[in-house]
Amino acid sequence: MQYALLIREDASDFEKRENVAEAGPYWAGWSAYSQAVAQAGIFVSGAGLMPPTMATTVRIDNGSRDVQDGPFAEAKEQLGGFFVIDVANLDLALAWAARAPISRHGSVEVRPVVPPPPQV
Amino acid sequence: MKNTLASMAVAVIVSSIMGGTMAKAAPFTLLIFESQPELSKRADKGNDGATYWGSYAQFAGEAGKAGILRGGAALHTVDDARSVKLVDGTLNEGAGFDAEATLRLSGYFQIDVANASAAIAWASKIPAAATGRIEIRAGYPAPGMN
Repeated sequence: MQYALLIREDASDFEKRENVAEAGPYWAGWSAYSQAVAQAGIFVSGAGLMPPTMATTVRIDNGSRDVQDGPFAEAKEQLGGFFVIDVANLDLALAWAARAPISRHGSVEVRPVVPPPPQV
Repeated sequence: MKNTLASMAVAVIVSSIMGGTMAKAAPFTLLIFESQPELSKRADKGNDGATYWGSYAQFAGEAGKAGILRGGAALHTVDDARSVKLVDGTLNEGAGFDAEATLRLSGYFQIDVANASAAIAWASKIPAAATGRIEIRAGYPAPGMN
């Protein structure tokens, strides 16, 4: 089964990426976690995402394109990155989620991936 | 005349270098947000379901042909979501955090395109652009995550 681990972070976490004192430990934590996922042979896909301040949101309204700066949702926690992993069951996915080096401000949401639809 | 030819040659070389630079694609993630009525079409066995999945198959086919598609997934939505959250070192399990949201994160596509404008153009073609929102985020060049 494939599961998405949605990594949510708050503004203080995103700031660590650019902070001279904190960027090292921040990236070291994610690098070690990414390597552990890869070495376990469960990695399907994933990405670290630029912060929500650099997001752009698009929708088509009555046929015309509406482009706005910023993330879609003005939530305190924003998606900072994600992993899709292939593990036997939800308990294993939750165990991997719990190993993610999130701060006490962050969270990991675990969601099953929808299997490919029948070919249309 | 000679100068004109020389400057044309320079222009060709410059444009091919620029073209080469532009062809060096950058990763973007297109986050898809959809409403519950829209998401309920996924399980529909009739026209609504066929139209829903068909429109995504069409987008994925077009992006695949363009050679920009790196990956993507449809995610089960909140009813099926399980979350873990570490609070001061304690693991909590709970329902999906965005249960109250009208539009929910329901999937993503990863694409490699030259720039943000191209990412916006592709985002506009995703079926949910007309029914929900697409959030475009550049990929962070983090070690080991791609």
